[in-house]
Amino acid sequence: MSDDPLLSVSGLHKYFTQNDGFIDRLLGADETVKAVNGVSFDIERGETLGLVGESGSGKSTTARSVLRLDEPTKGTVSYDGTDLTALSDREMTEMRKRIQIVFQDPASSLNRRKTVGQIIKQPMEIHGLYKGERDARVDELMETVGLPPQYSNRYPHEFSGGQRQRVGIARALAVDPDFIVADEPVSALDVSIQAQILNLLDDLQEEFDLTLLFIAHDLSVIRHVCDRVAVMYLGEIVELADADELFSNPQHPYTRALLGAIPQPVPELARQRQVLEGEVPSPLDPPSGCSFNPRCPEATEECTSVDPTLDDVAGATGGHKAACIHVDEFETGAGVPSAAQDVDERFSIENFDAEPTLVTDGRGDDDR
Amino acid sequence: METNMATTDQTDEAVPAAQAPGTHHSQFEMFWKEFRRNTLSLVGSAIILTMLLTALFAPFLAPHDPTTQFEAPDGEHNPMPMGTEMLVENDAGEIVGTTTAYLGTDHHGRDILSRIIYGLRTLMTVSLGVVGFAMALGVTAGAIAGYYRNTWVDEIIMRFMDILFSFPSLILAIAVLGVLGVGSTEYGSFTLPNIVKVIAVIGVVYIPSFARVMRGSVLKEMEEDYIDAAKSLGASDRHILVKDIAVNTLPTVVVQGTLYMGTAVLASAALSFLGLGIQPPNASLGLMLSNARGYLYSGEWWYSVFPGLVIVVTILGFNLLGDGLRDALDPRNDGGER
Amino acid sequence: MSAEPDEQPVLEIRDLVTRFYTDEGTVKAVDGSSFDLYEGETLGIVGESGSGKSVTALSMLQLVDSPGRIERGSVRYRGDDLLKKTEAEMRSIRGNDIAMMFQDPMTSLNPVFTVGDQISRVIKTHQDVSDKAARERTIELMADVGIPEPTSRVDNYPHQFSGGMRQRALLAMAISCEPDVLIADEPTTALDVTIETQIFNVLDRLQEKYGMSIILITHDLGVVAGTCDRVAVAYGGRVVERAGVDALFENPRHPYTRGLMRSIPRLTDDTDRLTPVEGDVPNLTDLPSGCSFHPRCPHATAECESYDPELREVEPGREAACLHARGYDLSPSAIETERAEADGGGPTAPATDGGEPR
Ligand SMILES: Nc1ncnc2c1ncn2[C@@H]1O[C@H](COP(=O)(O)OP(=O)(O)OP(=O)(O)O)[C@@H](O)[C@H]1O
Ligand SMILES: Nc1ncnc2c1ncn2[C@@H]1O[C@H](COP(=O)(O)OP(=O)(O)OP(=O)(O)O)[C@@H](O)[C@H]1O
Ligand code: SF4
Ligand code: SF4
Ligand SMILES: [Mg+2]
Ligand SMILES: [Mg+2]
Repeated sequence: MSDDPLLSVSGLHKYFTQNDGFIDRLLGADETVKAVNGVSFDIERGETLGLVGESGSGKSTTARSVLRLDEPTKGTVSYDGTDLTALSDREMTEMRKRIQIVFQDPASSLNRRKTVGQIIKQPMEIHGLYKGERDARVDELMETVGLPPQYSNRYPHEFSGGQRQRVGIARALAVDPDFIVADEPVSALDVSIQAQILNLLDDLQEEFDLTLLFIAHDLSVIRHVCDRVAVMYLGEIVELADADELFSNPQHPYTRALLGAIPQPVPELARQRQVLEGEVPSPLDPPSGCSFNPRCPEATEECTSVDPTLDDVAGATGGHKAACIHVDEFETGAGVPSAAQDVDERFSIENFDAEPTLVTDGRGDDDR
Repeated sequence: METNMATTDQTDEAVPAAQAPGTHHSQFEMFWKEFRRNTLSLVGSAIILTMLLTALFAPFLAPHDPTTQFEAPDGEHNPMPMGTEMLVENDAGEIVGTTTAYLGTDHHGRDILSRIIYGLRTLMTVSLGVVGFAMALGVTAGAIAGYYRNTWVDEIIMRFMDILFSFPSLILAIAVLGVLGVGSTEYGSFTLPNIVKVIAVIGVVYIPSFARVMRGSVLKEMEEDYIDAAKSLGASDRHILVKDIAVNTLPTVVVQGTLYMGTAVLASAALSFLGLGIQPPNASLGLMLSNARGYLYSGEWWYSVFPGLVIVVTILGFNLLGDGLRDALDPRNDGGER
Repeated sequence: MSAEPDEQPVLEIRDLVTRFYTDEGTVKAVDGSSFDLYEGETLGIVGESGSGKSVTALSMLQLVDSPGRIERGSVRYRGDDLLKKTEAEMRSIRGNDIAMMFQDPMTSLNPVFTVGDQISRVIKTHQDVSDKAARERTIELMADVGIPEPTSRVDNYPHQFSGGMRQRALLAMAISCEPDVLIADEPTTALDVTIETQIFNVLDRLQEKYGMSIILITHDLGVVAGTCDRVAVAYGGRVVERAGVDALFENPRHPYTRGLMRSIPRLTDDTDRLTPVEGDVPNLTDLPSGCSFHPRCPHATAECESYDPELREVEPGREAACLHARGYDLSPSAIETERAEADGGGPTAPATDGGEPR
């Protein structure tokens, strides 16, 4: 790992106070949600870091705190050597040219009463960039993300979900950023479209030299996109490793459980899905000790009192870290075998069991 | 569907929409399509358009000056019934001809049709003024409160609105006008015309309604990711409020404003009725009704019915129009693919 | 729980057509769907958003609202055509014989009543029992679906439940009258994989306990692989492939199914590039001519643009609606026969059905 990461997050905390308003807060009728509770990670230039975890584990809040869409409660976010948390609003606005975000819900992230052209143009207007050539740049960006530029005067609802996500990506690219946070960019899309968007992101990363923080709840997506992966549980990172290492040698019991729960599109494997009992506890009232202990199949008495820290896994490679006091007792290499399936070949276009001779006079009597 | 286009593009990473070309509609087209479907809203618009045009062109449309007092022909007395041939006098008081009082006259011999037309002009001015005044202040306050939700800014604005809201509108108006007087008020060299006072005093109680509706719709918009998108792009709060949120909340506010026009019409008429509105001899529908009260049982029905009818129809028109606008601007109609 | 192909199906859906008449045009939401459900099995209906899965389910229970209309087809439940039943007859069937579980757990529960009240109400609609008995049964059902501490949870409001718990409550509601058939429309789409596995475990156990047949609607092929016996793949409002689950995943016979399989990111595969199905999900107001998949199909030929393939048996127990899948007889004589049949007796029912799970 180099000493000069593009983004370095350290000790990030974000607490929300839940109350009904200002008066309640004055009266101190608070309940604190520790949405992000001491998260640290680095992202190298050109790298894609994946952030996975169940709903409510604090993935979006981490991302939002990094971008200062939510003000972090504690901790530093250092971007290219500058501590973002210490910047004034004006300085931060300047910085926003370099950091962009793509949202999960392509419908809600686009203003429904603006044309996609206006939407893509907005960042240039805010930063006063590309004066006089904005329309040309909108066309160019639309082409880059695979949308026909002549659709620029249409409204978001006239596009399909996948196309709307392309608009969101075009908007993020408009100011020519170095770093993009993608918060579940494909979770709301159909499987057949998902792959198009993931490939597009991959192409763009190459073309524009982007660094990505990629959030997902689907480990299979993460496997295809990310170089390194951080697994979150209840506001904390419980495991962090290179993608290959994580999938072949998962150490934290939660990571293993997540891997075991994924329904794989292979009947033999899918029928053996493992059940992780219980639900993510309320962050209002997290369990004592290791926060995973009420659901952990490996939990011992000790786990209810000791709060494990994210430490290097002994004997593992690639900066593999896990937060579990029993981590050294687990077997290694219990993960998913790499490239075990010859999927590509099995379902390939070439292997389609087609009729070899095509009959030409089959003019249909279709009624459509 | 141009299948050929789709086929040739198929090797491309992104095939253009499966959307049929030609589904593109401007926002106005979509709105108009929805709006047109509802006959009642068309009726409402027709009424309001008529009323507004009448008010605007009152001097051209009214057959007489609303303050001219005509003489009744022999055997008649004021108020004159509909269709009476009134006597027209010149400045010297000589009778120079006759003219028809289509809707009769009031007890001073003034032409009711003309007074209604001018009264409508007053009523519309006051009502539009009231709604415009309340909307401008309410919407701004609501937008700011919503945008800075759950902060002290929000708290102060909204608690102030609660206080305003707790005033009974007419009683407040009576009290204020009672203190300030019903004529125009002089502050040194500055004259505060009566109409401005009336507008402000009725309008002030509607401010909270606009503020609440606006705050509600801003809060709803704030949930949308595009707000965060704009923030992450570095847009300033003002930019987001004006360029992003406004376009989405405007429809709600317009609907609210139209519906409140009905209420404002009623309130301004009521204030005139009580003698606190526009002062005679200026024409005012409320005042006409008030004067007509004395003739309710003596058979001069035209004196009260026509002004009353105009008020009722105007209120109905605004309500129909408001409902129609609400349905047509309903955000649920925005989604193309339901 | 396995399907017996020679047995009479519990549900037999034939050539179902449901359309929505909207301003934008006619939405062919279901456009000639045919499939069967056998005793005790789980049938998966997979397809992308907008392929007509939910509308198919709603049509089966005559729950399609205006501007939608069921145009033709039949839905035979144990021999009886449900589409010919009156609304009153349907009401006694819904929830009682055929229960449905909806896509969105948040909007399917009424926020102003307790969860227990809502389950009890379903019980009392179909059974003549006292309030007390209904409440006891409710608690029992809540325990059945794995809601912890059902005796106290019964008085909770929906917002006090987590997403997974709400879905369990909906499941309790759906099975409260021990239905013959359960139609579950994307019961886990909004949930985490860990919670999803829990729900499917419960569903499995309940299927065994009550002997239900289940139609599971989903867009997740992984879920299908893990829980279903047989699968119907929907595209553009109709079923384009039917097969036993193992056979389908072993060798999908319709190009769309193959594309879908290829596009899923897999845990067992770490290549950077994924293989998407190119193009976009079709617009049901304006389906492409011929085979509706042709603009996206890598095997499309000129015929595909004009000839609309029907479901045909491509090998014993498997069917696909593709002109070029082996087994689809496209010879002029076969087409002639088919035309004659079509002219003679209205819509032709697909030749055979049934797909034997291996
Ligand atoms: N504005 C807020 N006020 C109070 N609590 C919040 C707020 N935003 C998030 N939370 C809480 O913080 C926790 C983490 O939320 P977050 O959205 O970061 O999770 P996530 O991992 O992104 O989940 P998902 O997969 O559902 O998007 C949750 O318990 C959530 O309820
Ligand atoms: N009430 C309605 N009015 C008009 N069109 C409708 C209506 N309900 C459904 N449709 C249309 O019917 C088509 C099929 O919808 P359906 O809900 O069955 O899809 P689905 O396969 O269940 O998709 P999803 O995975 O998104 O739930 C869609 O194009 C949809 O827009
Ligand atoms: S510390 Fe204990 S409870 Fe936590 S993950 Fe490790 S074994 Fe499980
Ligand atoms: S019929 Fe033609 S277009 Fe349709 S799936 Fe088969 S090969 Fe593809
Ligand atoms: Mg999130
Ligand atoms: Mg559906």
